[in-house]
Amino acid sequence: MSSASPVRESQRACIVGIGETRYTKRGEQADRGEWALACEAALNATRDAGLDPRNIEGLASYSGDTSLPWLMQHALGIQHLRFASMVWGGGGSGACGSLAHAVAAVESGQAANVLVFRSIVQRPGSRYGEAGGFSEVPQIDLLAPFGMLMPASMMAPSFMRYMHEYGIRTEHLAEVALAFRDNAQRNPRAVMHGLPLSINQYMAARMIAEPLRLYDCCQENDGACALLVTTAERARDLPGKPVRVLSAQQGGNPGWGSATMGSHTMPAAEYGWGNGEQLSNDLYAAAGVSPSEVDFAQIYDHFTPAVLMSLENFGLCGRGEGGDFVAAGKIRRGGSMPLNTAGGLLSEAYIHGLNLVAEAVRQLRGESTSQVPGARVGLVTAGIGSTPISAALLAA
Amino acid sequence: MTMTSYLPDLGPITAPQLPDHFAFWDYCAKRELRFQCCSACGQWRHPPAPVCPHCGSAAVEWKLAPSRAELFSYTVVHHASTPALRGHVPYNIAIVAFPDLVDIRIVSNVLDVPPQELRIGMPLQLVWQEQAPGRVLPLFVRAKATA
Ligand SMILES: [Zn+2]
Repeated sequence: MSSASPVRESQRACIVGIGETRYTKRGEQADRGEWALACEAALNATRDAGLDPRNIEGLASYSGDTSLPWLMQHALGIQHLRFASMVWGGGGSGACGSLAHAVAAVESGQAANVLVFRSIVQRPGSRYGEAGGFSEVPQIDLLAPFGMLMPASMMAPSFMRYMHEYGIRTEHLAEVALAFRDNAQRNPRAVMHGLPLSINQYMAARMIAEPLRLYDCCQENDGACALLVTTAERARDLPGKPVRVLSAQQGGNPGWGSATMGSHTMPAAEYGWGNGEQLSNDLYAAAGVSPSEVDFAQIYDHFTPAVLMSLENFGLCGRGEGGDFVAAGKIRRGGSMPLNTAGGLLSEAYIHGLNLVAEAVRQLRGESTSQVPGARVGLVTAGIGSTPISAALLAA
Repeated sequence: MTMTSYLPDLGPITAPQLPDHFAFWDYCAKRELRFQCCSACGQWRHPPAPVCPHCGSAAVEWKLAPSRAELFSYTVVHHASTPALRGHVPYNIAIVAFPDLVDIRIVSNVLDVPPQELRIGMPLQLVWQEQAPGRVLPLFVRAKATA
């Protein structure tokens, strides 16, 4: 695989550390708060990298993280802060976007060591199924009077259209939920560890917004995750095995600015297909790899149909083939395209997708609890069905 | 006959925040469904926006929506997002398209159709319903066969 980037090899960005807190059900870490969790994840990431936290030079987060740069500088003792960035995007669609900012900062020399982080402690009244969280969406007046008030109902019509157009069935959605829950049984960090899911439980669960049943929707969790990004040159002086960032990008297709948070007026041909095609093309081109070279993927699984759409958008199967692809067992451990090997957002934890990047790093280091033999290239996606979304290609 | 609205008033969350949306709701209050149409290039757009995405002109006319409408997609919501909706689940949310316009849709509700009879592509007809004083919603019913 060759690099399409003009950046010198020694300046190419690597992830040299990952750090996490305990992942729990929502509210269980409320007494500690988001700042404390962000710091714990940051210290774990710097320890993993073998770096002094005071040598962090840049900070990148997304989705309105409350652990503001001055709080992080204060707590971590950062001596030479040179870069701070917040990526736009609701939910976790900025997970790989914040990584992209860190990559841009280290590759351009704006900062040597950049911490990417996301910390979540969910408060009463900010439940994903409750109406409270959307008063700041400027186009909410076109949605709320009709009862479109939560992420599940905002995205369900797109999923319904997708299933209608391509013959996707409930069983296909169930396979995604069951596969990820199965992976969580081998991952002690997963909130759903020790809680296997059967097809009968899946089918019997309450409907949220058709076609989404309870287990088609991600969890609500408390926890924090962090990554430490630096250059290949600096990585050579660190003890761990660096994971190369082949590309990390944000994007969105034309017309998607009026999508799920607007009036659903995205182009008809792709209404039921997500929003990743253009980003996907850019991502692979910049990385100099093709989808056939991807060994595993961590796909943003806020909802199960989004996983099928993402498989198609990011070229891991053909358009409309997502259902057959999962039905053939390909996304399971031992399959040709293992997905969400730590359990994903559905079964590990919903840390707005940054934990998917951490799991990709573990895979490429050979440290996953569901290790893919010989994993060399991994795809991570962040969000589908809104704009902008983001994604990254990582390599051992 | 007493009319109860399909969904209850949900208060401040439903209020328009972008000035570009004010005219849309003002027309709805007069029971007119109108969309922005660019005076320079003639292309329709929705949601309301200050500039035409096709040509960049800010000159705009508000034109009446065509009467032909159909169900482009939908969901049936079973989870009440707010206590006010508890007595109303399950309810449908419809994405309504206008076959005579390209990629102009609105979020709405379909009245008087049981969830299991909703079908993508079914013809719909516009009706108006007051949800709160001054807040009149464009809603839809099943269109009569060859009206
Ligand atoms: Zn124009």
